[in-house]
Amino acid sequence: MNSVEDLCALISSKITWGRGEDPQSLTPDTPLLELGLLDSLAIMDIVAALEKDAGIALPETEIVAANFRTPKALWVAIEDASGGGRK
Amino acid sequence: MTTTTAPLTEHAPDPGLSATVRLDALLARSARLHPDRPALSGPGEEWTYAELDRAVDALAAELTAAGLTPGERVGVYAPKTPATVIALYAALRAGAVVAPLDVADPPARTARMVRNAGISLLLTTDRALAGCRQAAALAREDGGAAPEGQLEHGLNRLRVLEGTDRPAPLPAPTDRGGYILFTSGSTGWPKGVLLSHTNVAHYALWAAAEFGLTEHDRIGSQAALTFDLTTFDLYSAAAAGACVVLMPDVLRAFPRDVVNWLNEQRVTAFMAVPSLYHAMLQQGGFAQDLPPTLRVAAFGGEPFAPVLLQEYLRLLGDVPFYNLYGPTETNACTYFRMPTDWTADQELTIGRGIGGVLIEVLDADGRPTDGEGEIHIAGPTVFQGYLRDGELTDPTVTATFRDGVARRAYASGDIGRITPDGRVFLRGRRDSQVKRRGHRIDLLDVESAVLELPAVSTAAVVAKDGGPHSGEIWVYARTDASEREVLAELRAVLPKRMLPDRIVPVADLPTTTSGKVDRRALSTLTDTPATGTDPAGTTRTPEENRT
Repeated sequence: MNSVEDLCALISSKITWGRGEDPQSLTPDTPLLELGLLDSLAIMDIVAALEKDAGIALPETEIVAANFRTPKALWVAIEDASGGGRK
Repeated sequence: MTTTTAPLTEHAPDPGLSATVRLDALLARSARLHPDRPALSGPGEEWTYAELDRAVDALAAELTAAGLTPGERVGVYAPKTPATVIALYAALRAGAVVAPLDVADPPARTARMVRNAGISLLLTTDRALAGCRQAAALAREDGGAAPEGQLEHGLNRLRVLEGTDRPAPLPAPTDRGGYILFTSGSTGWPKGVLLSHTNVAHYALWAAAEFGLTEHDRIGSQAALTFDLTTFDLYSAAAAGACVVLMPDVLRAFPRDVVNWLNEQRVTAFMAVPSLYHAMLQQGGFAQDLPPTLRVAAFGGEPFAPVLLQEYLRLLGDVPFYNLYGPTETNACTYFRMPTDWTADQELTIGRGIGGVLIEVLDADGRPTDGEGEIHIAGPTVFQGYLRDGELTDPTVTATFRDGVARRAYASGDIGRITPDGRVFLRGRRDSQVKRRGHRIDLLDVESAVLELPAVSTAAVVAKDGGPHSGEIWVYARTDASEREVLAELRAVLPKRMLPDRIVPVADLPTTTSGKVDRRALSTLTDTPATGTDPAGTTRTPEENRT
């Protein structure tokens, strides 16, 4: 997990994409919630995958809509949670 | 103003009054009694009763001028905002039978709801317009674009059926309006549950009285308006002159946000499914951030985890906590105020019938029994029937209760027993329905969607029973497609909450000696396919799984 692009790939893998939707189309600015791409299950999956695959334990206080608006917003929250500057 | 509301006598909420009550008249009455009290609150806006009632009157007149006729079925396809509530009330006031529709559902599914319920007009917000256009075009015979017009409050109207293509008005009392909520059916076409004004108002008035709601209450409304729990939010609020506070849709998946919102909005009354209560306690910090203004709470729709329920009762202390039960077809029809000293080792009852509603448990021969049987519900909250192909069919039965009186009753499909003092205990289902986050899902509905896929030759959908995946919805299918491909196809036709947890490709489905698919065997099968079939990583491992 070195970049917001990596995070986009992780988020994309947890979304159930519909026919004709392109999983590669996810960008740092995609409005995840506004587009209805994430439900509570996908959010739990993303949080679990962050911890398991990238060793990032997002505190429960950070699992809020404001941090899941876009991949970029989540990336900022991750950086903040890990004390600035990811490995 | 062209309003046709029946006058409503100015009494305190009383279930006995509901015989003549229209939902929009509850609003009109509160506008007279509490004109300057807040009625409706959403992000950045608040409406007093007088303002709301005036806006509803004006929009109802606008709809009538645009050709809406009493008894016409109108879908309100919109995110949960004040404009949406205004649209619901205005359509009701204009005499329409109103169906809230969820913008999160795939347009193909919404189109099936529109067709099955005989909806001829859709109302939507600017933001939801694109999805609404898609659903409307899919619902129209000719597949063409629906004629549109703009309305006040950023609303739009889309004509699905015109002139004589519109279905004939429904029988009384719904020829003057009513309410439609959809439920998962066994055919892949959501069934429209047709409720009269009285069906909904009886429950709303009962709840307002039982919970002691007043014009000082703030009711937190968190669920989608397609969910039957929200009739309490909207119409019990109107019955009491309380304020309904709409939670933004995007917060729904974040328990921490829900708890913060309850605090920030000074919510005093709240109703939700146990799934949300569980999450608010486990991930939302509810124990640390107990909303100090909360004075009554209720849950319903699915079982509450006993240990968490006990914890809530400890946290809530003197705040009444109610267990409500009832299929969409009857609104909430039983209630039980949880004793504060209830503990997790005790059996939980769904309680007794709400005022005016009678509950009976009948055995396989249709006789009242003290043992287990099917729960039957009779009284003013029992719906009018299902809408299929635009037509009304009444599935209720005439059942003789233990007092010897024969009543029009809804056979719920829920198995339970009733004690001599009238308390009901639930035991399970007699059919293929399961519950997920309080939503009723018919496994055959999911199965229909799977079987309609060209890539699938045959399939069975089961709820896993036992083991780490217990309660999950699994599809066993003969298909050359990958799990991911099948899920992508299903995503276009099923709401997210109905998507299966796993798709398992099989060479053949096991059968019973009579040649039927052996669903029992599939539901307890512990084998999982090789993980190699799922390179994209859609598989959810147990530890990552749903809470």
